[in-house]
Amino acid sequence: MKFLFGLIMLGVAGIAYSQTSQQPFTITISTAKPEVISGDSVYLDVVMTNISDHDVDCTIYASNALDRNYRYEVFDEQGPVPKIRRKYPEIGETGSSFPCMIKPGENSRPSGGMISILYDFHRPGKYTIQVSRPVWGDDQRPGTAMTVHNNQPEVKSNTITITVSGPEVPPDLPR
Amino acid sequence: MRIADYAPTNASASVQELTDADLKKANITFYWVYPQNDNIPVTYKYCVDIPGADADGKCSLVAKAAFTVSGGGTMTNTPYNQLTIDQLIPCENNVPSGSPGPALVYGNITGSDCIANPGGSWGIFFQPSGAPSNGTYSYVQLINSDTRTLNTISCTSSQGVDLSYPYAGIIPGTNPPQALDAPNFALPSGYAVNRNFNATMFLMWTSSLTGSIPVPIGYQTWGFSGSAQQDSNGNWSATTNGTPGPIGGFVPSSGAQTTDGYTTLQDGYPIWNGAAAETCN
Repeated sequence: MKFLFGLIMLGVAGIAYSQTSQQPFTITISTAKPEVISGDSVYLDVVMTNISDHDVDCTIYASNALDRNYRYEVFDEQGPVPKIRRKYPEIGETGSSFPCMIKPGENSRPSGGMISILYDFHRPGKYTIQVSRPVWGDDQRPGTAMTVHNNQPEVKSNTITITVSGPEVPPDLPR
Repeated sequence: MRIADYAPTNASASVQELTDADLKKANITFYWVYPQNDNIPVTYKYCVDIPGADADGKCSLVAKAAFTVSGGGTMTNTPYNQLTIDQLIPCENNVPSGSPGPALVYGNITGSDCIANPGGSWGIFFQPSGAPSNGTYSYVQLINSDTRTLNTISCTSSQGVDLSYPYAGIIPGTNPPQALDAPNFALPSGYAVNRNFNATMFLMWTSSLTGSIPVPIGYQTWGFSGSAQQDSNGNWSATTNGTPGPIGGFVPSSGAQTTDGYTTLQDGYPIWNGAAAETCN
């Protein structure tokens, strides 16, 4: 029995260590304007905080008004909101990469941008938003971002709610 | 003590304290003085309501002073001299993945669409200097125009702030902070493309005194124009039109400025309605 208890405790310790090692940072999102009217743009501020004991990469990919190095999930009262389909998906959007590095205990500069470029918020109601970011490379250490591929563990942010009021303005889609 | 809500008057008046909470309001009215080498005249007198005294007896003599306001600062830039075709690794689900593909870049960078190698050459970077040491620099970049054509598809960006405020493209480890940009996009096979880009980078400075706000030091407009063509073997080449980089020189901010030639300024301040975003038709 003691042996079994010991195994269980080792397992718990292992999971806890794994989670700590996979989450070298936290993500906090906020918005200056949580209440908008239909047709308004919706903006997010996204800040990473380094909770590890080493430098962490926070590279920004500023592409068409939004930092695309985060994954954005938006839900309305019916469920997940689909991404806006681009009019010409065969051509890429413009962008610029901004290198970024945060030291232990420090915050990144605010990023994020206009999330309504990616999701349609024209329908009145409440929308919840959450942001995530995959852990790149060697525990997100700078310069190791391209040593890994998809399906990496990811860190999720807090969620925020955007309230869109009417009257409903038809969306100007697709872009 | 900081004073709020004082309206100049010869009559009696009361004032109240300007609190930290007041300074954090979005609609606060604030004042600052731009640098000026010629003297700024200031006159001062005070009056006290003394019962029985005539008008002259109630007021002090007029004191005069002239101020030379120093400070300011400037911003230099280092532009790359051409557009290049760089092989960048595409990003899939926010992670660099797959084989490198061609991109039209102002600058010469390596790495990925979403992660640039810091060892590359940015299209342009900006270096501030000269402002008082008891404060910090930051930047605002406004996109004035950005148009692309890809065969018959035309893409146009609205005017607005570049992603977010303050500008997030800062070279890590630089102090004072240096701002960078290297606009690019992946080249789709079978298209002839060109791009014309124009932006203005504003240098801001914030005093380290409690409650201070960023004030504009000056701005620099810059841009580039060029195209990319694909030969019969599928290889891309870039053409640079004119000289990319700064357009004109660094312009010190002043309260009289209502435009930078592209967008509206308010008392020298950059203003915008939202983030610049592209639409294709």
